[in-house]
Amino acid sequence: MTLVIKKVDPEKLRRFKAEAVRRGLLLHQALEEAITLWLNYNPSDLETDADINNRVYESMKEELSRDYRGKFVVIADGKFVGAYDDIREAAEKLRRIRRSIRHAILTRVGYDEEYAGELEWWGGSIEL
Amino acid sequence: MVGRVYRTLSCMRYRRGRRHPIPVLKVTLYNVVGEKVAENLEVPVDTGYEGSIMLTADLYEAFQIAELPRSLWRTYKTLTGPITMRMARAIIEIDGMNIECLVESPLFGGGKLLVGREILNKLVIIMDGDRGELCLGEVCRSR
Repeated sequence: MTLVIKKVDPEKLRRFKAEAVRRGLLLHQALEEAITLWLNYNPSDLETDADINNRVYESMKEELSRDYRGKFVVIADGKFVGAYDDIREAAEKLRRIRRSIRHAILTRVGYDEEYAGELEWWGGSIEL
Repeated sequence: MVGRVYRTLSCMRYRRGRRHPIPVLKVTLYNVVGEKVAENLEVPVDTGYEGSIMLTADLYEAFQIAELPRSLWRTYKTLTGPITMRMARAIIEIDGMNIECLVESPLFGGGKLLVGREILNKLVIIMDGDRGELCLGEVCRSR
């Protein structure tokens, strides 16, 4: 069958196509493989706190961008904890729940996105 | 001559290197909930690193309490290929100044200690290689 999908992130699609070519797969074969993996994947099996918090963030990204632009948003324990005008308020909230969590997301919506991306590190090397 | 005079506020001795000494900044690290993670850490200065502060994987752990979402982590172009960094919010103290910043650590590998241009460009730094000292300073007079 033929499938037409709108609003796909062009950068993700570019990487997906490149990876399919690298693995010697046609695009439809790669897509079917990805769908099978996704259907067989049970998030609760192996997820860490960080995985869960990131999944919550990704599922709320559009809502955050629409309703909380400029605010400091905290996601912890797999939940949206709150949105704060000031980083000190967000830090205070995190301090109160610190004992029960090891990982949390703290991001300033619409601001941190500008600092993401590719930077340079001349001659950088990491010892594995 | 540019005709500018700098006054040094504090100086740090270069750290011993394999052959040539390494300019370092003394940094105290706090996570956003105010826990002191490391005190007076000697962090090598790397003007080729565009980020803020790179940490080893073990030091980075304490900052996961305020991590950025994975989709906002940065990738660095290096001679050996792209390196993805985990990123978190932190507060660093340099010579009594508190700076809110991001700390980073490679997603794979042990990481290193480095301070990059994102922090260096907020400071007045005098690297006096002849004395083997890095000094924090201020401009006190321009002609």
